[in-house]
Amino acid sequence: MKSQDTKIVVIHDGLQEDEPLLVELREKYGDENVVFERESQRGLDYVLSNLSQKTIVILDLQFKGNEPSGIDVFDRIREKTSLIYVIVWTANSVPPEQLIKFINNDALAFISATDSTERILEIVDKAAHALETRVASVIEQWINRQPEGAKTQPYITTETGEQYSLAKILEEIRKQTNFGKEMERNILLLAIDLLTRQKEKLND
Amino acid sequence: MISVNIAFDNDDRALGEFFRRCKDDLISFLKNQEIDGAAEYDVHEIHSERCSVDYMNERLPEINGKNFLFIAYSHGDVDCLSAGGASYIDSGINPQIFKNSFFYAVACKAGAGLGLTLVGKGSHTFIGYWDEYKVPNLYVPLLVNCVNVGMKMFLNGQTARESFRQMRQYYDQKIDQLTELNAIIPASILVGNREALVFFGREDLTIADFNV
Repeated sequence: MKSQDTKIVVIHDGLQEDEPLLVELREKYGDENVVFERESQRGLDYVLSNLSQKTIVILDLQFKGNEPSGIDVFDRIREKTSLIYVIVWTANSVPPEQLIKFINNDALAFISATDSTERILEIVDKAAHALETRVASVIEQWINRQPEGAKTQPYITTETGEQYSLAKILEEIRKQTNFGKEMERNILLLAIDLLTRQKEKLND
Repeated sequence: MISVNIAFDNDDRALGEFFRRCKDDLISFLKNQEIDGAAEYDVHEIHSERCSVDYMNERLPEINGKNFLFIAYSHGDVDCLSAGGASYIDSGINPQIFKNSFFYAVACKAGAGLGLTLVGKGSHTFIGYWDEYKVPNLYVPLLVNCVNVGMKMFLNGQTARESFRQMRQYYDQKIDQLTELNAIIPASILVGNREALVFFGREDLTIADFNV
């Protein structure tokens, strides 16, 4: 099934434009939804500039020259969001300390140059499906569609007096704090509530 | 004459204004009813400085020989209502002085503990919230309406249970309206607030039972 909204960002300096994986991804997800960057900084810039869209990153670990390493790119993405799926492409075995960091920070999967294109596509498909159905992703995208000015105004006051703007709510959701989880729960409750009362107003 | 006692923590830095608006909205409703000749009320406002155990212990014995209404707009926790960081109604200190009350608490979590204690100690009915509730800043007037609509239904003659049911129904209407406006976060907050509502005690009481 072709997913129109999910962007696949491949950041890898060892691939060519006509690489079978890229050809298959474009075939499956559409040319406009597959972004290929050989320079890790450019790839990172693209991801950070498009945080509101559903994104899967296929990330190489080693880059030549002064380009940020894969682990640096991963860290920079995770500083901003935990909702983007990152598939780590490894040519060699991953050093244990890096492996622990990737796993602790929710790297989705590891693939290697020896994996078949079919195998990699299968992993990307699973990630795309998971993104479609992840509540936090839907909330994040909704918040990101609101006017910029509205994102920083106090939006909610809790009984304990804490105030949250939409941007802060988004941050709490990204960090999966108790408040962030509670907001997710309330959104789910709202969806169930509207569905059980035959309302279909969640799409805008 | 119906005894109406309203505690509200107007001095609270974060939500004092919200608590005061809730109180004012209810007072305005009571005055309109009196103007219409629908009822006579003996209204007693208990502001922040009087929200203390000492004041409650002094005031409540004067009125709890007969049925009365007690409404609270303040902070709360599982076993207490509080103002200025100190509890003024506490399961372990003074629940018995609220015997004969119809008790409505707009306060976090009190429905998870204090409510049942009050009913166990002689309150007729308790309506409150078992979890934290939140205030969507852009929709404070709407939330004030949601918070008070059940009390107004009761004052208009509905039974306690029917008032509670209609309050939930009113929440539903406002959730739908917010959803229409694409205000998903405020709508989800109202869902959370509505789901936190609890009812304990007698369901059949009407305001006529408090006209003593």
